[in-house]
Amino acid sequence: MRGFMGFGGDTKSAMAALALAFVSALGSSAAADILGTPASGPRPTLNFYGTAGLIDMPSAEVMPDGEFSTTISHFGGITRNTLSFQITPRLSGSFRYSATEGLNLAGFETYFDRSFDLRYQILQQQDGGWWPSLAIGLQDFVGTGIYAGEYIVASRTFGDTLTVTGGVGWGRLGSYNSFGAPFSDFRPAFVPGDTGGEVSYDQWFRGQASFFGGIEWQPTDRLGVIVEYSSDAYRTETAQGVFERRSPWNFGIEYQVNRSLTAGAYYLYGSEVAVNLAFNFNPRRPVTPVSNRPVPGPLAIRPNQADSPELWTTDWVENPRARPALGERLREALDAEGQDLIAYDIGAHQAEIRIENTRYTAIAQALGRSARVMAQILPPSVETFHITLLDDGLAISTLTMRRSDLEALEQEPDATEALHAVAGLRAAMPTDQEDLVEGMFPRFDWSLRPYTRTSYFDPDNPVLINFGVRLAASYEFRPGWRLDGALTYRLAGNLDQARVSPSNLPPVRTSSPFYNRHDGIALERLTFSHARSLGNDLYGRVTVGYLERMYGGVSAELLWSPVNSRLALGAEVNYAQQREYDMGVGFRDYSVVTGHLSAYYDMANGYHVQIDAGRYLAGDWGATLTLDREFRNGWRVGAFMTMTDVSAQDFGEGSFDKGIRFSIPVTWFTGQPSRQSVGTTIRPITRDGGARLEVPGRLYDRVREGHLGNIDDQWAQVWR
Amino acid sequence: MKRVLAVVALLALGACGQDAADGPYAAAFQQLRGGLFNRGEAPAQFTATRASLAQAGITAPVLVARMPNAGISVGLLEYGSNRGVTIWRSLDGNTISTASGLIRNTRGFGTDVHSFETDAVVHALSRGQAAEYTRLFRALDGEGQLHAVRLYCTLSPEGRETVDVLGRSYETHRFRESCHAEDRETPVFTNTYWQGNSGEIWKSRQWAGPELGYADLERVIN
Repeated sequence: MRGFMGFGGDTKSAMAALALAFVSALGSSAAADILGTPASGPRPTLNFYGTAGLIDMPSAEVMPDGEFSTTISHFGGITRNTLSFQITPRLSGSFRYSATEGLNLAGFETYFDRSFDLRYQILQQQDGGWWPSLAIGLQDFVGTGIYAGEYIVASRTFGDTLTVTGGVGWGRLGSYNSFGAPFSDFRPAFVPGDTGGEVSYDQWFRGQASFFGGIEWQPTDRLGVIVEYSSDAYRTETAQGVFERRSPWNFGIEYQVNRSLTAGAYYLYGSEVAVNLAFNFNPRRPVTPVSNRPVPGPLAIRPNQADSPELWTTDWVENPRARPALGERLREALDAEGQDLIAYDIGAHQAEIRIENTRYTAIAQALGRSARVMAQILPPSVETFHITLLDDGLAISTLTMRRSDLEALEQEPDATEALHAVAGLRAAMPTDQEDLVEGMFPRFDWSLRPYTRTSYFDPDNPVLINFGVRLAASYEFRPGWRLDGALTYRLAGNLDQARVSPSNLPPVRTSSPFYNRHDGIALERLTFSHARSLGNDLYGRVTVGYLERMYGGVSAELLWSPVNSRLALGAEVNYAQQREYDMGVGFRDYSVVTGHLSAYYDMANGYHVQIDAGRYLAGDWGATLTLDREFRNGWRVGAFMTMTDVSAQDFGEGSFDKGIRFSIPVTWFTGQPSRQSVGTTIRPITRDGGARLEVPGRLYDRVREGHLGNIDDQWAQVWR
Repeated sequence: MKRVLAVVALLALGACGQDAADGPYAAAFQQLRGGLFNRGEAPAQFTATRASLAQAGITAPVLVARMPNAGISVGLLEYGSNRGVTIWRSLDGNTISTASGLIRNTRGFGTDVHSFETDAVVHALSRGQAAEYTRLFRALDGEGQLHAVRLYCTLSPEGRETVDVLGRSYETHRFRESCHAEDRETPVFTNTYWQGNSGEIWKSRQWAGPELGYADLERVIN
């Protein structure tokens, strides 16, 4: 048995440093401008590496906080596709997939490479101040290292049109016209065909250094002209005849077609015509503003008790038909708001409804609309409203509001903050059997939808994709007791062409291409599960069956998550057996006991960290660090890395498991309320080390949605 | 039914069609089609007259709102009130709330006014003299976060003026309100109010946030 958490000390400290940089970088983001003041100063533009910069060189500028961009640049047989994210107002990260034609390294005719960058703006030029902005960057710091380079760069803007940039580069950025090696002479050479992936801190800012710089002039709101002096000698490429580098001077002209698209044409290195296309998105800039239509009707105000005391009577409680009739009216009206009424309990002075939100991204909006429905339907004597949120039958939290507060605050300018101050949130009790809406259970639901399945960065096909249909169905015996299943049928695609790479470990994930070679109907999932709140801030779940495409088994989870706590702790243990490649009911002869202890922490301002430590599918022990940034409108962008006791050699290409993930709510595109989102997880390479079982319905994300941190973040929607 | 149809015809729905029921994908398609080929339907205009309102049996006060920036031209019926704030509602359910004629909030117009403080202006208008005061303006950003900005405002009387509201003229006092924010040289907005002799705002031009721009409001009483 290998040692628990036995990953190397150096990578561990690098992980810690990364986490620390992330936390310390949490500046307070400048308050978004709700007055519509136009931005001042030159706009930052993206360079050929997809980061804020000149043409092929970086600058000290930053993109607007949260900006998400993709760039495609091409020159001299080199194509780079970069995904960048402004993680905090000063920290940004990039993931790049590049192809170099005719660069015959390690036996490939076209050299494909994946690389990660991080950059941090240390100083920011202030309005009216003299100091320029200053940034430090690491380029390709965990890849195979073909683009490895570090830089310190300063940029100063003059007026609204001119930016002057100068910096010092190392590695690739210190390869032309070097002035010496200020910190250390030795820098390990780039080794083609190396497994790569290790954090190459031992070479940062070492070896030869060079100056680079340039000027960007933006004569209009849309047009930019750039001249730059490049310190990249392109030694590896020119030695292989990829292109001829005749000059360090680059020239470019860029045009901002609209807020999302910028196109540029360039003349690079005295020999090459080049293009760069940049697509920018920002979670704060929805494609369509949320309309919130249909708008909720104005809050129903009760008649004055002194004027019409007869309307405030509680006699209706004695009528045996009153409560079922009110329940039915509530069910109908809530249904119109996309809220499924599961249970209710109506008394003379207080009432509770238990709902499942099927419509709104923001839970606070679902709660607010449900409260209006209650105000519209319930007799005036009912003063206290309790709204309990359920997720697939799992009771999460109960929001309590006084009806007279709702009435008094509705039209007040500070209605949102004031209601927050007087509403109460607590953990929910499990649902009482006798409160269930009559005839609700058992509940059956099904859907037939298209699906896609993708695989990236196969050496022969950068993108492999399958299309098909998925038939999903669920059967809920009682709240929280469920049977879920999904069948898929592939209609078209080329995912079956994915290569299977050899592995020194049990092929727990490298065998996934075999699962894509099967035609016909596949059983994607078939599980029986039970989830419930256990009291004392504990939640539990047991799931049995075909858990995911590649594994079946048993999974048990326990989560401790107080309703108002930033911290949550979880434990999960699973027995998993690998399924047959045909995704029928059969199993292969590989099985493993896998499980994790997890800690989740909400760092506020939308930043979340998660650590999972335990045993992975290949029997390896280790831990996963996940950092996510979540926006109030449901955008999520994150990165993860897993270190286990599998050596870099045994792991293979990439050295350890890592990747990025993002998820975008459909509402952001359409402006219409919806719970759906689109997104994906991108791994530079999928190997067998650090692979985690995918268990449907894990508790934390379900529970957290109805807990204080999330409800606070989205509280502004409560009156919408 | 006939009456409902008549009302629908009279109180044009403005740019906001009732497409919410079509679901997110259909709406997205509409959005794309409008954006790419510029085929958005021309916004309907509020075309009612006092006679046609009376004919349709509309006796409740009507607030006519025109927001040229957003292509909105719509009539809203007085729907109810809550603690001195009047809620005006269009046929497709969008609302504008006003306190003594001043915009308190809007709902359903896209990038809405979350809220405006109005007490200080109402007080100053009731005195009818030049005044200085502050107001809080709240709005949501694109992410859904609530922000509040303090505005520094001056109200100045600009003399008497006769205004026409849907064919009826009113003797009014005109007031100009100019509001500034910190770190901004130009005013955020300059509103105009035409106040009748008994204090009602018959007509006004009020800023409703950067997206909606100015709203021209007229209060129609039949």
